[in-house]
Amino acid sequence: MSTVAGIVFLTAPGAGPLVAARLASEPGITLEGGDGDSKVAAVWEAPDAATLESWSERLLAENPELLGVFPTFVGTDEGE
Amino acid sequence: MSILNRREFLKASAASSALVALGSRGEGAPPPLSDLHWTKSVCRYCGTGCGLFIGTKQGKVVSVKGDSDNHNAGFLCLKGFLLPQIMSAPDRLLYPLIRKGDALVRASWEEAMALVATRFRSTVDQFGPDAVGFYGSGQGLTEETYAANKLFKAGLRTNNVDGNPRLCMASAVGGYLTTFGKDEPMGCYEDIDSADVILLVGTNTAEAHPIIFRRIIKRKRSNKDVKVVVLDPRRTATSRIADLHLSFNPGTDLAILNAMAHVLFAEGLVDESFIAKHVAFGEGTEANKALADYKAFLAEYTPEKAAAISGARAEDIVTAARWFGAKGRTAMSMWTMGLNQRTRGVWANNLMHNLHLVTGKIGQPGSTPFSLTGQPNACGGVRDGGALSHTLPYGRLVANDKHRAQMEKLWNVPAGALSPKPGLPTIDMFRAIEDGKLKALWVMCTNPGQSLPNVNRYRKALRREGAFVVVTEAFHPTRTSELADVVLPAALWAEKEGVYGCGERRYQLMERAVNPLGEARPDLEILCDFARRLGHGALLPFKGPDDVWEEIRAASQGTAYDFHGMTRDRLRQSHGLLWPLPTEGHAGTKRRFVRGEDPLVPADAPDRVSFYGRPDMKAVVWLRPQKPPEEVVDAEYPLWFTTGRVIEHWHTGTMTRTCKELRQANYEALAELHPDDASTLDVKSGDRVRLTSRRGTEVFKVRVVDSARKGLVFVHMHDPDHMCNVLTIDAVDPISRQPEFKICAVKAAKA
Repeated sequence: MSTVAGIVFLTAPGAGPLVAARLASEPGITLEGGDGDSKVAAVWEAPDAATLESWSERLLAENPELLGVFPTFVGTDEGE
Repeated sequence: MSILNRREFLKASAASSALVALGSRGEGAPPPLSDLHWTKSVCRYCGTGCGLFIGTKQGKVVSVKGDSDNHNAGFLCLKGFLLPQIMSAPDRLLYPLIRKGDALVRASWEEAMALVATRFRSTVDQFGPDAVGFYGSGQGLTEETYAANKLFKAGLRTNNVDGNPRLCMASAVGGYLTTFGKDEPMGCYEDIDSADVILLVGTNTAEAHPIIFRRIIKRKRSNKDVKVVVLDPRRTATSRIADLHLSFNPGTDLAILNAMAHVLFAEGLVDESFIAKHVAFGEGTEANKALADYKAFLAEYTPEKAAAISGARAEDIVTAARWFGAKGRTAMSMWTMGLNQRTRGVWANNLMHNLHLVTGKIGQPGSTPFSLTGQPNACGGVRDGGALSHTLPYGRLVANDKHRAQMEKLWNVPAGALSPKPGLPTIDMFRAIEDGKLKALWVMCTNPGQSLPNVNRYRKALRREGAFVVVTEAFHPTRTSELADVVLPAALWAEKEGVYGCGERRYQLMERAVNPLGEARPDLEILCDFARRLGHGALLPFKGPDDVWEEIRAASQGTAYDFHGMTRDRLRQSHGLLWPLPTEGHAGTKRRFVRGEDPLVPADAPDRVSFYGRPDMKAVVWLRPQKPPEEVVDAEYPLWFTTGRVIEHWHTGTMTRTCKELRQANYEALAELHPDDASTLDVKSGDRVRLTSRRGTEVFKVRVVDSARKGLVFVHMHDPDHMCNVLTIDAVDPISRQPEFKICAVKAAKA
């Protein structure tokens, strides 16, 4: 079983691409788009929703330009 | 119509919801990954050499994903993630161009190649072989670089073969050769995972090598006792994770590194036994000194004196040395252009090695000196392949009679065919064009019209009356192709097959995933065509890169690089192999010079390490004094000027500037100023400033940042419209011939 989430990252003005660059090297992240300024859209895959929460907290702590992590969708894949 | 499974449905829903929340309609969302055909490859950008898979659909590259079985563990940086966009960029060159007057006009391959062959042949006939040259790249495939090197040195009979690695890591080569007698790092990326101290000098790893930086962060997070020390005049993104950041006046780090060695001896942090067994001492070019001489040399480099020279704090120098030398803890150092692009670059490299040699922190997991590399195949193609003006393949030198004889035999050319006279290194090569001595130049896969220091001088030379310049390039216009007489469309990355060798001696096969766009051809095909037209077809009889690789493997056999066991099939199956790897059954070598790991060290060697690169089996600690850069600030040019990279772009921007997302960040090169300097100049962020050096002048938009060092201006190297290299100095290191991109003096005025 695993969790798939749609996420919007809100960054400081102009920091979206920089944050996206860092996110690209995070496991389980697929970047979907951005507004080129302060928002980045991504899909995140992880073992469970609790991991999503701790992962969000870590990202916020490590990236001063990152202002918020907003799940727009959370689904569970129970396998084939 | 494809049916989504649940996971794909979830991912599509998640993507849609995020894009809707973003306000996007989602046209950019990639197709379902299950519909794609995946081909194993390597990232096209920096020298980290991240493994990846290229996703194709209907003959087009539409996606990439990281290779989880490679050293990058499936991670990619944003540049790598966006690679599909470069393949169909609007400025891909699709057909040959020939200059007619001031314009470059479309031509057939036949017309273009006939012209090129005629001009090179007539130039050699009229002015001799040294009137032509080849300028290659750390981005060309190993097979391409090997073929060009062979054609020019054994066919056209000139050693005027050099490449852009001369601009980025020649000093690292000089450092390894003078200290250990053999080039290339002895350690591997895996050493990061067990390093207790990580010393980063002159490297903004976070932006220039983000996947290596990720590994450093992972190591630091895994153990609270891991210390990261950064030596860099600027407070970069890398220094954000540092436990200790030493900022200093540009060009004074030799004093700091000597002072660290001073502290190591003063506080008993050296390994006397290791020194006695494995270390020789030298000054100048001879290993003719003793430990006592070295101690006497270091005596004057007290932390206080180094602090006075450098502007760093003496207590920070002491702390850095104590952390590095702490008994029972491992230490790894990494560096790149901040040390290499200097007129004392080789010396600076020697001083990094010194720290490891006097502490014995070398050749063990977590303890190694490691130079990072900027280009994906600078190591594998040009450096190892011997495609510089003084080298021959796999550690051989053109000035060495035995080495030339070996290559003449391997290349099946008459004895004496190879010239014993080294050719022109990069800056001398372009000066020879300026002087009218070099009359025909082939430029492959690089952009010297933007990347050379003091670039306007050499741009003028490339358009000199009588100079004939051929450029093979995947994009047009570039700041070089616009100067060319003939531009040949080259296949790009996924459109061809070949080997890349990255910074840790890891060789990897990039398989062809799609056909070349338009009329583009792989450089190997172009070179073979050129050879046939010159009457040297027998030298390059290759039907494809597989044939070249067989010859390359043979050339490596019996050398310190020996990778004869790396068959094409093994490369195809593997996720990278580290040389030496002499036999097909060998697993590869993580750590060179180490008994039990390096096949070139006898299993019954008496000691843990054996520096077999030198006859006495010892590495050399060099006595290298502090020397200032070629140009220093003065009353007329009062600001230091330095250049470098940002995370979103790469090199001259020909690829990254085609990517939509990357264009949105750091597209324009800005002059980063300290707030005090901005105040003095009466400028704020967004204003324009004119920077002038003794070589040129350029206007940049200003970015005021408190991370800048007061008195130091930084501009990135990726903008073809605002070229930092109009200002940089073309003075070179006397040993490596690498230019001092990193330091010069400028004056500034509000524009």
